[in-house]
Amino acid sequence: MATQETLPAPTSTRTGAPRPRSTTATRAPYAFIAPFYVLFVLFMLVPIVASLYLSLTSWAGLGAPEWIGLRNYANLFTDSSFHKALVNTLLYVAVAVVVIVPVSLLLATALNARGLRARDAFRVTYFVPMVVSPIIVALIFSLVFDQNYGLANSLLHALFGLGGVDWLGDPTIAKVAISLVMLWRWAGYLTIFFLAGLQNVPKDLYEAAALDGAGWWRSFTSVTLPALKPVTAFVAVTSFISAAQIFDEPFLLTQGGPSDQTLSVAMFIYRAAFQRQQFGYAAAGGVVLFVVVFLVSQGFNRLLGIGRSS
Amino acid sequence: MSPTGISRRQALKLTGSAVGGAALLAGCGSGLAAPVTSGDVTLDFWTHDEGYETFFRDGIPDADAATDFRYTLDATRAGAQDLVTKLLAQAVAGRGKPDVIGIEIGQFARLQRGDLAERLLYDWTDRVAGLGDDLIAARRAPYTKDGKLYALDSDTPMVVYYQREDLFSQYRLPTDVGSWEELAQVGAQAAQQHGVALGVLAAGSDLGQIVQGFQMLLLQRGGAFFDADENLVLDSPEAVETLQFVVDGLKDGWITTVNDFYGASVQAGLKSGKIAGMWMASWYSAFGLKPNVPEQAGAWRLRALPAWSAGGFATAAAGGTGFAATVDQSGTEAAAEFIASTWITPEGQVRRFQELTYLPTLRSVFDSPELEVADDYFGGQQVIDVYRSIVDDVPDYYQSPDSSILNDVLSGHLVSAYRGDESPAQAIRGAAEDFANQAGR
Amino acid sequence: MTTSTLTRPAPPSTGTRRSRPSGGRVLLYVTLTVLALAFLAPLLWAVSGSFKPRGDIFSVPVQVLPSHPTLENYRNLLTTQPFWAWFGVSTLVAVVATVVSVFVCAMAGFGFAKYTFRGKRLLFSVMFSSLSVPFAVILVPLFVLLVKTGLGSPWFALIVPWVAPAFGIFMMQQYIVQSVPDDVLEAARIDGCGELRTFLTIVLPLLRPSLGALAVWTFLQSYNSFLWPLVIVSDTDRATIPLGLQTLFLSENRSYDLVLAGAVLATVPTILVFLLLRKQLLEGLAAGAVKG
Repeated sequence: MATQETLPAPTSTRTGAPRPRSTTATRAPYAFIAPFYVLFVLFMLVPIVASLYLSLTSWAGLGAPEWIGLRNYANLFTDSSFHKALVNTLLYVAVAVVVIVPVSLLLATALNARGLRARDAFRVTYFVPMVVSPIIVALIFSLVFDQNYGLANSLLHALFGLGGVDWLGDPTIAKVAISLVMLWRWAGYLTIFFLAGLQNVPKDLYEAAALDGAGWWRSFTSVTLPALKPVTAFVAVTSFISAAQIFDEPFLLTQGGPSDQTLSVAMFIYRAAFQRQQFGYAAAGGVVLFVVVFLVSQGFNRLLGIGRSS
Repeated sequence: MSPTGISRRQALKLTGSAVGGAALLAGCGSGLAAPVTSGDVTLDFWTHDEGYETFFRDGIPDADAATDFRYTLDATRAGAQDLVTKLLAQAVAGRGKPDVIGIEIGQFARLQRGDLAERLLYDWTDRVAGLGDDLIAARRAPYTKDGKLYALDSDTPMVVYYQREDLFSQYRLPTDVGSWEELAQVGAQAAQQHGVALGVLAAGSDLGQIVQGFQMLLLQRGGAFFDADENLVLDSPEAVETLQFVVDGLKDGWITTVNDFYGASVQAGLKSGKIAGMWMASWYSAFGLKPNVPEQAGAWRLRALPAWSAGGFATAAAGGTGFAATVDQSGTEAAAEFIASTWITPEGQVRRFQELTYLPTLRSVFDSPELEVADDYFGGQQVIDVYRSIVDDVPDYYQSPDSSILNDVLSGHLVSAYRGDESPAQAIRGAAEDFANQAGR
Repeated sequence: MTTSTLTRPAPPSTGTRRSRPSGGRVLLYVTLTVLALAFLAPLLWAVSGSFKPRGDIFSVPVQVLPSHPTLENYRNLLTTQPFWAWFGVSTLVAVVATVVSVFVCAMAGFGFAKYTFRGKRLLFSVMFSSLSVPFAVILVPLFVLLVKTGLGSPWFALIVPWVAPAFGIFMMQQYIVQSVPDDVLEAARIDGCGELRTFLTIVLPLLRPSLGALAVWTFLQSYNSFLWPLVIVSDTDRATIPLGLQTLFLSENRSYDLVLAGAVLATVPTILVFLLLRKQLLEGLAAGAVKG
């Protein structure tokens, strides 16, 4: 099967694990991984198959779903709000991968500076937003971004004399606001991965680069970046998957508005199912999201070799 | 599972489970328990608001006296939207449905899709037939599907004009202008001279509120979102005209916008005296004014809305929560009796006004002397007088299963019209087009 | 001159920085501190708000510290809402889910890391790919499935489907490959140790740091989850904290005051768990990615 080659391989195949001989030992690995697959089949595979079926029906939530073939998919392609959801989700993904990941890398580099005091305190501080429940994050930020009385505008006013930014009401700025919340929540978390990666870069590589007369930038590009490739790959893919499924921020902060300008695909699915009673249509949106996320992340994996030891 | 490499055997399995899944989803095992016809009964009672729970608990003695049942309530509280989601989910599961559920009016629209309402909710049509026209028609329309009535509203939430009597007299503004056009003139001057607003619209992230602020005026003007057959009728001269009116008002500064009718921004506007008047539904005094600015007690007054010189109604209805009983439950009959004996009796409606400040849905109860109470928040005014004067001219309000789609699209276009990014005509047209693009999936 | 004398005391690139705080260093500290403030400000503002009377929460200009500090919000929350019930449900669910999940993930991770077996690549791929299944896709059918089969009780539904996260298995697998030497396992086998006993007595103790990491991660996931409890829990008294707060916030009068107090109380356990186990979490999370 073609996919087998593209999917990531478990690490041990390359490192040469011991080959047990006895029969108990050949059964043992299956026993170890069995619980996962039981749960996986029951609570993920079966629902996915049901979703595939539902996506070919029209179902308001009760009674027998009515078979309508591919009509839901055809409708998705002409639905302007689905297009907006796709474009916005693409934007969230871009923000995550192109802005948040590099920012985290910079932050990690700064935290990795030699002899930095209070490194742990900084690291912990940046991570804290990640432990706060999304509903609480949304609540706090809906107050922070209040146009007239929020902290954000108060600060802008105090620092720069600016004011009256319509954070959640302006179509463009609302996207910025949501991106800022993503940055706030994720940057510290991703920094952890980079920081660990940085601490594993052999020091003598830097020393060699320094002896060659390399400045900060050159040793960053010639030593740090190549050494961080596996970490970066992992962080980029997990950020991509999370951003592609983003739900909490737009749902809780803007309800996808104004004019669907912050709507994400995950929220589109939720909205179709739980606000509009179009379960079949929602399932079709889910299948599209699944296929796209799946293919792209497989592509990423293949390109970057995640899950493979090199 | 991978979409590219499915073997034939896997594909067969997929089809097999898909059929199984279908059976799973389709089934609606009712496993009917024998209906309870008298004696002790515990009703599962779902609502999004504590006030209703208290009201119905207090009504238990009345219900016990009027029926053959002795009631106990087991209450569950959740968000208005979550309640309907859960109702449907439990119905699919075939167990765990509530006996009585308070459905917020906007959420009822979801049950208008297909035959959901018919499958889930008790049909009140025959039972209330005896009430005739006394059950206000405007409160039946939103909960009617195919001529059948599925819920009984908690309120006749008429839109009135709230005004700060002290500020009006301080700024020498007339408190009895006859038309919106006059109010706009007075307001434009007041905004210029004193920086006060005489009207408020929502333009934040709560899409329902954005629509509601506009909808109240549109309905009063004689426009509508949907007709009785669930067709969109938004794109009308009345809608463009009404939107033009509020856009002009925003430009002149006598209408202001807030992010949230209940939260920070409205509170600050009220506190600072920048908001001296607003059109809002009757429940706003209990949910908006009194909790946010208790210190302004005595300063506020209620009056009927100014009229539109081009015609329309005396008021409009906005909001509401319909109480429904669910079918196929052992307690269906008991639940219906319970609602009937607490909710739509004249005594119940008087008590509802006294405890929850909701207006009766029976026309005759408006004339009850027990409603004639002085409200200190409104300087001792008998607010029922105002409502009595307009209750016979409430426009009907219809919803559609696609109401929430309209909320999503219209809110965006309204805000862009408020901001001046679109002309009112473009905004209304655009909302209608977007709706057509998304509805009926 | 050996390299060690050169590098240790005065590496060329850092020598100048060490001698006296240079402009770059000051800039670094200033930047990091400003960022730290930016990260904390919204949270501190919420904490401060929870001690303000409702009318002061939105006063202009913003009050950094409450000018009329009060415990009224907390008192109201705790007396009018079943907050401790929510708290109990959330904590219990999270703790049970964490314990089971850590064990299941360690087992599966061990299976993948230290054995070769038929179908391993495919099984691993399936496991890894399940990371990219959007939750929204399975939400509705999963709910129907659970309730129809009589497994819809919150205790089961909030815990069981979520105890084998692919992320956790992947992380454990990575960690085990790096930190459990093959010869230790061989030695155990030669001593006649069964596979399960080898896992329990030899492997698990070696995994302590990463188990801690996974535990914190799972606890946070479970404690903070929102969408699933929203669909599955229908009883106010059995709501989880995020659900309870959401209901409170959506009630007719927008109880900002109570909700802020609740948010602060709700965040206390997560912050505590995080602070206590932060070393394991930060290092364990990183272990999965570093040698990716």
